Amino acid sequence: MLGKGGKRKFDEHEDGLEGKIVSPSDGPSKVSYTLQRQTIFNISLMKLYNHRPLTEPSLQKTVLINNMLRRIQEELKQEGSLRPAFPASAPPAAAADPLGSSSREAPPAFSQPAPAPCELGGAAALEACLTPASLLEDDDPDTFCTSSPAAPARLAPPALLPPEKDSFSSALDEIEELCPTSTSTEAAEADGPKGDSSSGGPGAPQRPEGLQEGGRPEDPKLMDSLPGNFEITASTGFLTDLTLDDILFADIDTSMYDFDPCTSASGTASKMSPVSADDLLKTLAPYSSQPVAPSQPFKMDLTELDHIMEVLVGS
Amino acid sequence: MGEDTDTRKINHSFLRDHSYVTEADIISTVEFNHTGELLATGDKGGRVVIFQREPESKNAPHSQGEYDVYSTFQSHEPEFDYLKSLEIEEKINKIKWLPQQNAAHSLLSTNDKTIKLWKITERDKRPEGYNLKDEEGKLKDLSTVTSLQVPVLKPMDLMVEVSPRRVFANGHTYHINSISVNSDCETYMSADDLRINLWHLAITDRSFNIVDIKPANMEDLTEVITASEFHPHHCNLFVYSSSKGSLRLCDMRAAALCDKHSKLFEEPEDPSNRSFFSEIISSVSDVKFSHSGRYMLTRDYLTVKVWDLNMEARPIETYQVHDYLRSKLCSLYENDCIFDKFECAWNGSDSVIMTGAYNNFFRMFDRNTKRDVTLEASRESSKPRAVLKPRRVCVGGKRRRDDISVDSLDFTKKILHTAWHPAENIIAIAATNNLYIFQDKVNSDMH
Repeated sequence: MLGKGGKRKFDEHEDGLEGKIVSPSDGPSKVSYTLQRQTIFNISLMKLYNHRPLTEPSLQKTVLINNMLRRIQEELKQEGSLRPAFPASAPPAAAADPLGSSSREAPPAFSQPAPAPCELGGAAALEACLTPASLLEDDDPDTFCTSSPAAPARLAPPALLPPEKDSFSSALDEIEELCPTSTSTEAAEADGPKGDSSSGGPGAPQRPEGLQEGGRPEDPKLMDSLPGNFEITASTGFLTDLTLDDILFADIDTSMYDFDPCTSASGTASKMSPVSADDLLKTLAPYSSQPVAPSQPFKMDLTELDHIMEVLVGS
Repeated sequence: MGEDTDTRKINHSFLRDHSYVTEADIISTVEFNHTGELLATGDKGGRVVIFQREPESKNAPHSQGEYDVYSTFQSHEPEFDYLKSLEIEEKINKIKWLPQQNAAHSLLSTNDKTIKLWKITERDKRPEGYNLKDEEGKLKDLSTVTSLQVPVLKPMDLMVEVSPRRVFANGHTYHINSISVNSDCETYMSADDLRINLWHLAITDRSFNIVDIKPANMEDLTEVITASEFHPHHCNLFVYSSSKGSLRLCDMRAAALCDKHSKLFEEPEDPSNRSFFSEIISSVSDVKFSHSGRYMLTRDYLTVKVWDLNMEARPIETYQVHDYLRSKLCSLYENDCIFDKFECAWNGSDSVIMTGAYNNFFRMFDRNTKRDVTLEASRESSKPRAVLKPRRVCVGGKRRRDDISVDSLDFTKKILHTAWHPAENIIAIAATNNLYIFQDKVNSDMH
């Protein structure tokens, strides 16, 4: 699960990632801040999606985790809006394993943890953020590394996330705004929570989505981008100039991602039904606090998709 | 089930491994009654166990009255919500005693959805000498009855009878986290994550909603109610705390729906301590009015704070419970410990406050001397009637002999529920499935 890295000790990890927010102008600290943020992001997602309660989950806990995710999303959005062109930065930190959790599955595909070797502290991490390609070439199937260094870091999926408690529609709103082909990320989102290592194929191209910004420690604007308040603003299409298809999903069947019904905001569930009812309804499960079942939309038969596509387009 | 309750105080030395603990035995709430004579505990299995303080015996004048099991009953049963296909836990979330108005004792116990009023009565006499029935209750052969007799009451072994008098159901969509009896002794309130209802103790089919923070669109929900309590003296005032660390004091005279607070108590965030987890650790897990009614005590993840009702801007006192955890918040978030809801308690004179922590530690803070102490509630570390030894958690640097290092703290041993006798220095500590009752020795140097 950890890949090449040795088992991380509790203390080491604590020293590297814990602690207060550090000034973003500080190079290595900024990277560790980013690592920490990504770690927390991943953990939050896992908490929301991996939970299979027999009883109703605690609303307080859900609300707090949601707020955490929204806050991180806002930060990412703000940082993304400040720097429209950015290099791929250091890969996000491994989420669960270094923290000593036992047998947690890999976190969502679109925000994959880096392998342990990628999680470097100090100067090494700074190196990592400047030359992410070298790190990304750590060919570890478990950690979904990819070799597309040009992949922009801050991308739709984290912003797509706000896992809603009762409805999916606002998440889809943001998906729609951010990219025209949202089903990919939706599917990624669905695939993510229970994606096991066998989904390394479809999971791998998701890797760059998890890459976070933070490669420009000297950027003075980053100081301001750490928000003092975590107001949730309306999502803006700050990534519309990026072509997600090319960058993210090059290795995946793209026929799935051309589905128009998936980009519409409301009534998604019903519109999805002719396409991939089981799979995508399962992805809606977390929002109705039902147990989440893993869905593997990528594995759908291509001919079946084509057929369904014809039906939809024809109607 | 009666025989199981005694295991709480018996030292089962072969059960040291906590993994043998039956989950149903985990104590989920502890509450003294208004005189301190009775102590009620609720557990995850829906049972309530009431302990009674034995009157001080003349034989051993230096040993103050100890608490023995008085009664045990099954308060709540697990239920199933068919609409949502989810179980409703029978775990007792809170117990609150009603002020005693006659020979019987009454208490309210609640799980996530339903509140019940229980009446506890004693029977220590029974009538004997019936004309038509014999001692076992069988009908007598009338031909053997030659004279009439008046039944007389004869003493019998004490029998404690508990009966449910009211069931307040279907008042809450979300999980009930608090109940509080009003000082008018007629009404009480119950709070769930988004709403607070006012009930009359005698009316079960109707309740009034007095606070509703549910947003029109649930996606906009960012804050929930975490605890609430009536003012001890003013029957129109109550306070509720939120997951964002704010307290709202509401006056029921102002409006029927008290969404608009009369006072908002909120401490501005300390920018130097800001982290990803600032909001989560600021979530108030418990709020308690002082006995005087002048102050409020709140517990968030790392601190306890004393608020003056006259000052909304910030608490007047802040005590660090386990600040050494501040650097471990990420891990605590990952293993969910950061969501643990610790309770807090005042002593009878409002001079000392107490709260629980991890590793079966609990902390007490003297507001006057500003001294604090950390104590441990465990069988291994203390023999019965031995004075508790103060513990210390070392955070690096110099380490004394008996110090515990932060990394060796057991986060599964958490003391969430504590209670302080209303008048004396007797405290009840719930450590997982064990209940510890500590009494203050007159010659101890603790307080």
